[in-house]
Amino acid sequence: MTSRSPTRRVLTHLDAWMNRLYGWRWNPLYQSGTLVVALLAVLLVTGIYLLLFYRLGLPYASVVRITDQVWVGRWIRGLHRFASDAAVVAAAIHALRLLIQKRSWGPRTLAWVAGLILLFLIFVCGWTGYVMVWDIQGEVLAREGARLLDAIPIFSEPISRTFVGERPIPGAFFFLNLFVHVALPIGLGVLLWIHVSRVARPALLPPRGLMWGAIGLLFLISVVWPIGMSPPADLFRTPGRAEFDWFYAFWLPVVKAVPVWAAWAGGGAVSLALLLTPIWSRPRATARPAPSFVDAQLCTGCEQCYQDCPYEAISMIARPGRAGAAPESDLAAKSEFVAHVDPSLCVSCGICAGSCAPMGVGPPGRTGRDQLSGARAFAAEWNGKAPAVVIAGCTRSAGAAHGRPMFDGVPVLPVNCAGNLHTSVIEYLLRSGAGGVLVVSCPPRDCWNREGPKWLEQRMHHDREAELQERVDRRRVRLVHVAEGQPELVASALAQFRSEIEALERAAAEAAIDVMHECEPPVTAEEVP
Amino acid sequence: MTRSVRVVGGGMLALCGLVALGWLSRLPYTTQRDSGALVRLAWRTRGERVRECRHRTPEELAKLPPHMREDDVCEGRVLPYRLVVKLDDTLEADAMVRASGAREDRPIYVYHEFPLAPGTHRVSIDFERQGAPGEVENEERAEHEREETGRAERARRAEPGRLQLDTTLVLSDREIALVTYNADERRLVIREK
Repeated sequence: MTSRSPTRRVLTHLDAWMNRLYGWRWNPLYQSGTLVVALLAVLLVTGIYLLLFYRLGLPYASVVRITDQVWVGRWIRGLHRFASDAAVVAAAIHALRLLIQKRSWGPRTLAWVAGLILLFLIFVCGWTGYVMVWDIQGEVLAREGARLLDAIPIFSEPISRTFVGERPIPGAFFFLNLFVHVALPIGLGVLLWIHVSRVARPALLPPRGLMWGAIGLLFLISVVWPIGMSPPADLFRTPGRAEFDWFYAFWLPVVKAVPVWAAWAGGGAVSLALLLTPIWSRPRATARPAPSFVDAQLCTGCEQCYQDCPYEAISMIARPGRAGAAPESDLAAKSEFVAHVDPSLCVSCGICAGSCAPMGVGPPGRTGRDQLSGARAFAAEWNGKAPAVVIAGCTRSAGAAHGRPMFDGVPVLPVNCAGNLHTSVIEYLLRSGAGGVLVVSCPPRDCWNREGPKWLEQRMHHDREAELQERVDRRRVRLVHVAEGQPELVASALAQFRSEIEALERAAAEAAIDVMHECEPPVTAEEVP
Repeated sequence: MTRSVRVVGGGMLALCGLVALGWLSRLPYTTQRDSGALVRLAWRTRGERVRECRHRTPEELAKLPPHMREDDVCEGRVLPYRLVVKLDDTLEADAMVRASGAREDRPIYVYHEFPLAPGTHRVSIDFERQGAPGEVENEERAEHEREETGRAERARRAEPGRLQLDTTLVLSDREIALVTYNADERRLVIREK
């Protein structure tokens, strides 16, 4: 049994519960990253509307005017606010998931760091957005921001002086604030591009139903429980008690209670710890999975691994030495291009191994050939008595989690990722006598390697290279997606599959009966008395 | 889990999440005491700028590139002030206020806040320039400099070496009284809304 961290166990249970309620396709925890993008789009659209009515010279009065538009402005402002809150929650969940799943180091470092900066910019955007309203919350946020910034000795004049009441708040302040609020989303777009720049085919939006469902719920609360107006900022009155948005002001009680240097030190320490996550969270060097390699002798230059790699770690390069090779040589007969793995981009998912028909690429010990060797050893343990069904399970699914060798009496062949599983292994298991092969992968939206279940499904049923051969009876193979915390679904899928295999076996046994041999020989007309 | 349980449970969870979102987005918070007033001291002064000059030794000059061999090296700074604040005859602050900037050659900014209970309070503030001109190493040269440019003289005329305020304030709940410098009247004044 492999051990899981307590946080991982909690996340597994949460995922399982959300799957039970919403199904893995609509599990919002799986879609937290794409939900952020959808919510940012909502913020952009609603923000443009709000910008049309916002007045720099009359910040508070113009927001009051927007809020007084009962039919449009009020709910658009509410939607803008609730979408910004939900974006923070979704971004935090997304980051936490990746941290707990230890998917924040190595080739994923750039995405992690860019994601953190994205989250920080969302905070700054929200901060400036609340200052724009210039109510009590805006004033307090502005004051605290100024207090923190004044600790940095780069300003010619303390920013806090702006808010002491000595003179009216200059229009330049509101202009600068609005500029930052509007300009930052452009930076968000660039950072989002960097965030996904190292993945192929990034999924940017959640399933349509989930996306519109989430937006619909936010619209609902905007209408049913609309955002009101707090009292206006007053530089000659202490703020007293006022409503605050805790998704953006959660730090206030802490920062107000400590000296500025302590606030900076605390914030800096937390930021540094998060930014250095790729260093402190990575496994020890000896425990890190090795990147894929290419056996140039076996590579046919078909480009399938290049197409399937979810991290764009594989490129096709000119075959070394082929250009000057003699026409009759072996090298000249080979393909012009050969696959090349960039180790700095490879997460060692092994999906390339599953895509390679001649088994010439993959991580050490997990190429197609290595898998076949493993399958041979696996079948040898049956001692000549082939099971009715075997499970080939992704180790992050309920099929093969915790390193269990058997599931409900069925032998389990663990694989690092469903996409790593070579279809020849499935065929080999059937040829070795197994009645059926149940492949259990993690839910596609929670695949740690992004596209494992998708590619395996296409290889099994849609002739994607390296496809499961046509001669394999598809009734004897099944692919199910089950999260780690839902073994009961594997059990029910297994029971159903087992009964179907038994029916197939019965039918096959009946078909094998020689009716002519078993029955009385037919009576000819001449023999009729 | 049956479909109806999933629909009801999923719907309830979504609604709970929504209510939590709405609640946390407008949760009341007291940033300062519910009842209480504040005296805020906030002003800016250019202060008295002095230059401290000395002759470079021949050895020092020799170490410098030819085009940088000035006989004198001068550094300007603004003299600090001492701020003493008494509220109801209780000493609340007695601090040196130095000019901003790494070389203390930028204006002086005063920004202090003192919470008070609503009611009548006696406020006494003394803001006095420190460091007599005698402290300047080469006073003659500095004086000559000042006369030459006239800037420091103008500054001296504009801002007295000592600012004092002794007054009685009546503050209501959550009211902030701002003590600031009035450049026209060349004295500290109370500014209220």
